[in-house]
Parts: sequence; structure tokens; C-alpha cells
Amino acid sequence: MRSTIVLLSLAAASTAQAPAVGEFFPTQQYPVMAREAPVTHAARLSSLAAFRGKKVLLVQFASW
Amino acid sequence: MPVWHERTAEARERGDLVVVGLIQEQHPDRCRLFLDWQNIDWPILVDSLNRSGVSAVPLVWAIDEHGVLRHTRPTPEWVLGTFLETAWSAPQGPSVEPLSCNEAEKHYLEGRYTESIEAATKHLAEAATDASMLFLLGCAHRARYDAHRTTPTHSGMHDSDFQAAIDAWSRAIEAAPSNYIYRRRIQQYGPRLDKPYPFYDWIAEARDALRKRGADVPRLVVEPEGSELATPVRTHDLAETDDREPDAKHAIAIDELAIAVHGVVAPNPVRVGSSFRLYWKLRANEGVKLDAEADAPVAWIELPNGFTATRKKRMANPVAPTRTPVERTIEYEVHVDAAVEPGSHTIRGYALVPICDDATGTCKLVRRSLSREIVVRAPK
Repeated sequence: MRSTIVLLSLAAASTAQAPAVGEFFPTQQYPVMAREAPVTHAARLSSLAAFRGKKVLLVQFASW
Repeated sequence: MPVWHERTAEARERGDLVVVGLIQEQHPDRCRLFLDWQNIDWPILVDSLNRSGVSAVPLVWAIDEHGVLRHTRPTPEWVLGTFLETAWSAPQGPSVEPLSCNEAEKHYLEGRYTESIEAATKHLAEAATDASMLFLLGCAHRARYDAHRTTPTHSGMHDSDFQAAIDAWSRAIEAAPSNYIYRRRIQQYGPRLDKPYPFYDWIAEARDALRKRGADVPRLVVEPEGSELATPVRTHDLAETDDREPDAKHAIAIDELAIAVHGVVAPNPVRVGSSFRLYWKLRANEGVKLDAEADAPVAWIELPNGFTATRKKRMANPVAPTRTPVERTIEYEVHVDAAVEPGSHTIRGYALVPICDDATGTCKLVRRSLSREIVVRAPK
């Protein structure tokens, strides 16, 4: 895992706009990585809205 | 990630905090191996298409109980202190609606890669420099390629998808040069000279550690190989100790039908004065199999003037011992001298491939010709 310069993109046509502090965080759906099943792109979808009511730390990363 | 896992352990245990991972990889199962190795059991969402629209990772966001962003680069101290101790007030106004998927995304997320490619291509006909759609197009081509290559028989369908993925990602970088999510996909498959780090060199260590713990080792859908494991270099090293042509006397029987060959270039197009990765993808056609018991396939290439490779003879990448090799890959790192004229150039050569005939069981070594056109453009 390597540190990388943090750069937020401008909004693209079909992607989220980077939110500002004090704004709602985007809640689009993503495939869920299920630990008991093979990981496929056609997995069950979920979003951060599923954690509403809890404080969430969202960590975006890759294993490379 | 391990630092966040360790520092938030008590808060997660108490139920005061949920840590959610959002991963940015083409092959999310590799990330699952990483997480198992690190004993990280967060809920994980997969953002292979970069729908979150970020330009680099890692990123950490602190989101309160109402779904409002409270910090974009929090420290563990701030999270465990201010963030958890504050009863954040609910904001005025309506919550944001989640972004709906466009057609190409929807097809991709449901595993319909051909339809996703068609939708993305249609969109790009009207908006050719939409970087996020170009990136998606590359992801869909690569996903279809992976889905196809893991099947045991070779139909010839979708062989060009790997190159199409490289082409689309290359265009995405041209449209959005500062996006490091896009750039990493090319670096993953591109030349060692352009790599910031080896990418998946940790996998062997992770598997060893899991085995020693007696834990299950997740099986990877696509094993990383070659460029995905190679150590970066900073100079194009021409030193080579054993680079003798393997069949200089034409002693091996030529067979152009038994093996399907597909050449892939990354990045594409290639620029004068730069390096590129050349892949020869070898698959057995119907009626034969790659011989898993014999030595690995080997290739020999002849380069146009001004092109250099660390070696002209290369063996195929190793395959996992538990797997029947349905495809073998031979990779070259090639440098294009600054004096090379822009235009079309051709790399030719041959591969020596051990095969077995399905009907008779007879195994033999065959010689298969290789040829790949390289389009070289002037430097930017």
C-alpha cells in the first residue's frame, strides 16, 4: 500500500462530484464484496446509505 | 489501511464507528486476499469503474450519522476524538439523491460486458473525450477479456479485448492526465520504466502468511503475472547474458494452426523515445492443449531499427501449479529510440510451444510465427 498525492477530480459526466465538508456525502450504489462468495462485478449492490445513523470512516484504497 | 484498522479497533468494537472500505481495482478479489492477510474485516464496496470520481487513492472521509461529510483528510486522533465525541447536528434541507447509473455502468455492474461496451461506445461517439466513459470502456473490455480467458476452450472471441482495454485507458489518460486511477491501469500492464511500484508483489507473502495461520487462501479469478509483479526500473538495461536464438536452424516443425496468438501493446499508441510492454498471448486452438508437463513456451523476436529489448528471447510467465494453463503469456519490455521515425513498424519473431493433440495424446513442440504492428507517434 503506497501513499499517493491526494487529488480530487472535477465532476465527470457519470461520476460523483467530490463533496465539500458540511455537505451530504454521495450515496451511489456499489457492488458489495461478499467474503463467502467469489467476487464478481455482478454482486449485490449497496451504498453508504445503509450505514445512516452511524458515524462512518470511509477508506478508499487499492491493494496495489 | 492496517493503521486505520488497528487505531479504530476499540471504537468499532463498541459500535461507535463503522469503517467502510471502497476499493478501486479492476480485480477486487485481489483486494480480498490483501484484507484477509491483514485481518481486516470491514464491509467493502467495490468501485472498479471509479464512479466515486476520485483521481487518486488512498483517501479517507469522515461521514457523520446524518450522512454529512465532516473531514476529508482526518487523522486517527481527530476521528477518535472530535469526530466520535461530537453529536453532529442534522443539516437543513433534503438529503442528496444517489447518482443513478448510466446505461454502460448498469450493464457492467450486472456483468453484461458486451452491452456495457456497446453503450459506452455509443456515448463516446457523441463525447469522444469523456474520460470517465473511456475508463469504463477499458474496464468493460478487460472484464470481458478475463471472463473469456478463464474458459477452457479458445473460440477466438474477444482476444482483442485486452488491447481494446489498453487503448481505452490510454485515451482516458490523454483526456484526464492528472487522474492517477486511470494511470495506474496502464502502469499495471505497462513498461517497468513507467511503474511507480510492483503492484502485486505482496501476493506471495500474503498467501504464505495465510497458509501458516491455517486460514483459507482466497482463489484469484485472474492470477497477476509479468508486468503486474515486475520490479520498476529507472533505466532501460540492455545487459543480457543468455540471448541465443532458440531455433536458429529451423529444426522445429512449423505449425501455424495449433496455437492462436494475439499481440498486445501497452500503452498504445507508443511514443518515440519511450518504452512499451509487448505481450504475446498464446492459446491452444480446438483439438490441442498446451502441454503443462513440458518446458514453458519460449519466444524470439526481431526488432525494427531503433527498437531495443532487454532480451530477444523470453520464456512464458510461470503459471500457478494448481491450474491447467489455458493461456500462456510471454512479455517483452521494448524501448523506442528517439531517432525512430513516427509511423508503423512491425515486430516479428516466433514462439516455440509444447502442445498435446487431444485425439491421439501425442505431445510435440511446434514453431508458431509472431507478428505485431506497432504504431509509433511523435513525442507529446
